[in-house]
Amino acid sequence: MAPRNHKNWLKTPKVEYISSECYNNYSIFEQEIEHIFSKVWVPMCHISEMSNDGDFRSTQIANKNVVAVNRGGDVHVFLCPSIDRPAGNGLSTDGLHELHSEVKHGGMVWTTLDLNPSLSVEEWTCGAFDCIADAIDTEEMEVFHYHKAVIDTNYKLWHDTNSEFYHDFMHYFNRVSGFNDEYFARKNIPFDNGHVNVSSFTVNYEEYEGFEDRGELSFPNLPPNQWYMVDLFPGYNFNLRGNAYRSDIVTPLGPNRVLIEFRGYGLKKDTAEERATRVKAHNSIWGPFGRNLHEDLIGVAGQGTTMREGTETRNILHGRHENSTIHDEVGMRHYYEAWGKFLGVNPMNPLALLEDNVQAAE
Amino acid sequence: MTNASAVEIEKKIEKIIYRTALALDDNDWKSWFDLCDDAFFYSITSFSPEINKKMTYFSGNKKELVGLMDMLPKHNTDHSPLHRHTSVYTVEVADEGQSAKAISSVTIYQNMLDGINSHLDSGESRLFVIGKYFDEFKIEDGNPKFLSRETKLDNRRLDKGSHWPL
Amino acid sequence: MGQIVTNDGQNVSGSPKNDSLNDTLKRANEAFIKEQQNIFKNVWVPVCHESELLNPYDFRTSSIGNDNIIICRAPDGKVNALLNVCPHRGMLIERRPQGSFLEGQASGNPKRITCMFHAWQFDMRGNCVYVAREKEGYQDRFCKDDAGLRRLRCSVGFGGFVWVNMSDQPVALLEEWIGGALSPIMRQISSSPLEVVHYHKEIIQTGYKDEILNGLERNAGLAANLFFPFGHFASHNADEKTVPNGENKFPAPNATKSVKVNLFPGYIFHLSGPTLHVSTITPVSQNQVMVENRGLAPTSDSEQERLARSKHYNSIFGPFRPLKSEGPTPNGKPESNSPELSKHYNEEWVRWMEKHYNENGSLTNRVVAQGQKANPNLESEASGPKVVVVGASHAGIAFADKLRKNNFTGPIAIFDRQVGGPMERPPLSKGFLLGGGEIVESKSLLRQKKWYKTNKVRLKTQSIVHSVDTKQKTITVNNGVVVNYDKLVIASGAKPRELPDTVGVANAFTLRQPSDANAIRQAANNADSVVIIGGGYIGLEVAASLRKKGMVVSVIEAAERILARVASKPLAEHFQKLHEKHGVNIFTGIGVDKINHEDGIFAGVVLSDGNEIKADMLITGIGVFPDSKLAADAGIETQREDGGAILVDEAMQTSVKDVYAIGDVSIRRDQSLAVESVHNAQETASIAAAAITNNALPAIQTPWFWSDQYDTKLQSVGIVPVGESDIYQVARPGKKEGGISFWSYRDENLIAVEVVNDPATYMEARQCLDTKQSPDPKQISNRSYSPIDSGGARS
Repeated sequence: MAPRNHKNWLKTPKVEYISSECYNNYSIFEQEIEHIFSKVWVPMCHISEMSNDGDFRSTQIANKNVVAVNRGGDVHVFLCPSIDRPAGNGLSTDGLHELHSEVKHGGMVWTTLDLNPSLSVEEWTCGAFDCIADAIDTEEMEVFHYHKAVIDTNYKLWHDTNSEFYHDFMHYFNRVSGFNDEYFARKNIPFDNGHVNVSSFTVNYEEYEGFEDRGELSFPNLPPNQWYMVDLFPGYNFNLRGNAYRSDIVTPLGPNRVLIEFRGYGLKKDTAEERATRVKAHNSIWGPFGRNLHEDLIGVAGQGTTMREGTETRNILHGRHENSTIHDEVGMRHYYEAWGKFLGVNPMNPLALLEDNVQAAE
Repeated sequence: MTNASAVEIEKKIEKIIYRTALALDDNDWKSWFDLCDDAFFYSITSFSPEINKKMTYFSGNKKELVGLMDMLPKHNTDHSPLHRHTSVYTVEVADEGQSAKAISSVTIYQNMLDGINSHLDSGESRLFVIGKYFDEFKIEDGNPKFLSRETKLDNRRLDKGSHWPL
Repeated sequence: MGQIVTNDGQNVSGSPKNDSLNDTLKRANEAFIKEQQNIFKNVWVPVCHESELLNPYDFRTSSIGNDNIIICRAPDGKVNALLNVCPHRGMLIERRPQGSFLEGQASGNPKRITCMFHAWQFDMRGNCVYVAREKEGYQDRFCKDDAGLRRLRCSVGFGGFVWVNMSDQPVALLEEWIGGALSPIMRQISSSPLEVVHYHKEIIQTGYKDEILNGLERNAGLAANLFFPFGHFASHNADEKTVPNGENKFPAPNATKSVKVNLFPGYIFHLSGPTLHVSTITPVSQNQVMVENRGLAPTSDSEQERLARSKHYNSIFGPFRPLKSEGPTPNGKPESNSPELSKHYNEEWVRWMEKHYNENGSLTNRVVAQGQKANPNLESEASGPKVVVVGASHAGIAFADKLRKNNFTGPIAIFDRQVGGPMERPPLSKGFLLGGGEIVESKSLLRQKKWYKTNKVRLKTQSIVHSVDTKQKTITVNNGVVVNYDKLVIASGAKPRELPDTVGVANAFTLRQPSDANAIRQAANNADSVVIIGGGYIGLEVAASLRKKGMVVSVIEAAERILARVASKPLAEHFQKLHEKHGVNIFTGIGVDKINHEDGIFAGVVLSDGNEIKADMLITGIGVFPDSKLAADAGIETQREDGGAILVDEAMQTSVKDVYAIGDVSIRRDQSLAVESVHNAQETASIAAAAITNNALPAIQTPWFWSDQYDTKLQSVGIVPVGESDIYQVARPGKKEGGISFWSYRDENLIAVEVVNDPATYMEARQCLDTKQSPDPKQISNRSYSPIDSGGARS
């Protein structure tokens, strides 16, 4: 239709939406750090990154330095004010405050800044991993790929992209290889705490020249060429596609800046040849020089540009309904329901309520 | 093989590395492929102290690369030009002049065009990645052709990444 | 943010946060954002030049005040500006700085603006033409009709620049905004088509304001300064007059003249000899500004001329100019050697930021103090004028005039929201529309500059009076400045009624202010047909003017006849015939059911009988309503609680002592019908002036009125009570051919006379009514019968 004047542009949409303030307001960001990232279980790294006694791996959660240490085969996680290396061996943890930690779901090291977490990791993820548990927990895995990106965008915009497949219109490979009945039959399944997963369909790799069929090296107990995705609140994605498994983990750096860490996983028992096949499969789509990741990141960088601080508040539509199938935006709607509860705000008008809360607190 | 011809081959190898840099700078994939043997294999690798492993970020044979480059217009790509500064450090000719290896340093700048917020960014040059080229050549009739190139990056932070070979 | 504290109270946080530093940064950022909102999103920004998007489907992207925009050329050659934001999930739609939409993008089709993310597609006007899997995902809840892009106000002009204003309701049209500021170079930059031949940008580590003010030091060689409204100013060679006109002016390749025009808040047009340099600022942060530099030259240049210009340009403005005299200046206080220029700029800045300060009540006082300090003239106002007039309307000006004529010696100040000197309104719907220029002429000023000086009347234009405190006897103007009064006269006039469906539709107008008339005139220059809703005097006068321009004109009147509220039936019939003879289509007794628009541009109307009239533009002339909000807010009594005219007594005093209301905004308590006319303005002004100077109130005159349509002049005296059935009219032939008058009677008593093309009869009729004589209705149709002194004096 007609282009819109300012009034029409800001009109309340007829479908579900949230306010762009959720993505660019500094106070909201501060609240998220305090009420979400300081509370939830965070998959900080993989156990294979610290396989020897004394190995450590560090990260930052909610602006706090955190280090995971292998002590005689057991993982312990500490708050560590002065850590300056991403990994190494031989860190003294004397006097450091230990945090709760678990190794779960395919060997991920989980920790939380919450000193008295009310839920275990399994209770927190509450079944979201069940669909791939047999595939990732049968054989020991190891990380073969690591790279990171710092993008000027909100972390939730990245998670949004992970939570919907409507953006497959952006990926040529997906447009030509998917988009059949089976593709559109996949469903988004919501879990408690804002998690969602997407059930499998079979990928037709032969549709795209240069991509090999991935049937032969599927993960344990996974039928050939199947694809599962687990989107964990508030910004952790696990993606099992035929013979390649990956994760990405966000660390918000500001309302409009996010660090994303990408990992690729193989089975520890892989032969060199098998590993090479997996690496290639991983890279073709998800590598920094692969086809899809570059496009996904351009997408969220573009959103970050239009929604940087100081831009006008606008409505972000989350209103597609397709019986919870692949182009339904139900994943995002489910996420923001949980998100709103964590912060005590209405995502359609987060600041109004936020101010009320502040006033109430005062 | 005479010393003179080894020097000649070394010069030719230097030349082919520089010509490749120019072709890649111009996204002239065909000119690049013309300098590669049919058995050519390309990879981008890096070592990660974070996970303590050597990694492959991208790889493909000549046929695969040609397919990917042909497919580029169908992808949404950051078109900010990449420009390489290459210095050939060593060239080692072997097999009686039938093969050679070369190591070059490479620094790649990105001249911003359409990546993020072009009104502000376009026209600005940013450091994109740094690393080294590890090249292998097959030499026939005194003329070298690429057999393989491994682009070993120092970077593990790659932000938006790229659809283009480096 | 919370610290992590263990059960025993120990702080175990990894990296303690420096709260005070963060808060300072946060506040600086908030101030910066406010500045973007208040200033940059409301001013006209020259975003690029038309030569940067020469062909249909060419585009250029830019940003204003943190929001990204696309400027593209539609297939019909028109340049449109759109927000570069997808209505779905806020993706930046076009990422490239420049290009063509003729080629399809990876996710979309040729001739479409495609959002790569989910493949939604738009045309060059911002219509959404494709939503991927629309029905599957949205069923009947949402469709592409709901997904148009945000369209922005965009004009091409002043040397071929593309100007965009992010506000749908800019404080001024582009022409008014620029006003005369570009006039020192207008002829030169308009004389031949230009193109951009140089472009580079700089990011400078300083705030944009410091950058502009520091730049003023470089105006040193340009000694003569000119000041314009809205904070614009120009500086030129002091010896300009010594240089003969002709060849040495741009675009001549050997030109020598130098003129630098600064448009607020930071767009500089610098004619330097043979080159035109235009620099535009885009603030990046509190301490960072991007400056884009463009060099322009005539498209007709020979290679040699271009080379010579380029050399000259590079030596002064290029990134590698020998002395980087225009380069960044270190952070710190700008020490401009042009304090007057800085002051002019700062005053405007304060005016724009005032809105922001008002939003933060606690800051108001501080800023008012700053504003007063920055502007000593305003300071004197705080203790200043004793008679304050709100509105430089006909009534307001006439009041000031009468006050002086009544020998009032105290200070008089008039505050008016409009740009420029107050204008005669009646010509606006008449001859003015036939003019072809871009700028409102000064010839129809109500009073020339000299009058204000001679009469010691201070006129403050662009001054919005926000509130009246009747207890303290003060008003609050623009930048929070408080002005006290002894007598306040509200002459704020009336505003035209609008049809709700026309709000925000391009090429749909009302007519009241010079700016309205200017906009109509410009639109009419590019239109072939017009629909006018309302067959009152304004509607008919505009119809006559636009018909004279050769446009197809349709007038729609809901009442059974035209002029139903204001004229007798025979006169209305006379005018209906006159218009029909000139080819105007008049529809009476029919309503408008729907306003059609395409792409937000008016396209036509659907009448209540289902017929559609297509047209290029719409003018609504369905009356006015009094602009009485200021008074109502101050607790001054108006006709209704929610508005209406301000109620006044016979001396024009309102319900509050020392506050008067005159002209269209007022109505006497004993008056049933409001009369909006110049006569009413003048009469009420005279009464108020007399009351304030303690003179006897002048006698109330018979109301008079005139209208010009084609070559027909209507003059009427008295008010025809159109709704009353006992009124009848008698026609009297004119003294000359084509003249006629209609005499309205109740019984034998003359009530009003409407005269067409017969001034002598008008004078007689007026004399009759003023002296309360009623000529014999049976004889008045006889041309040889004299209405004067005919023995028909009324009791």
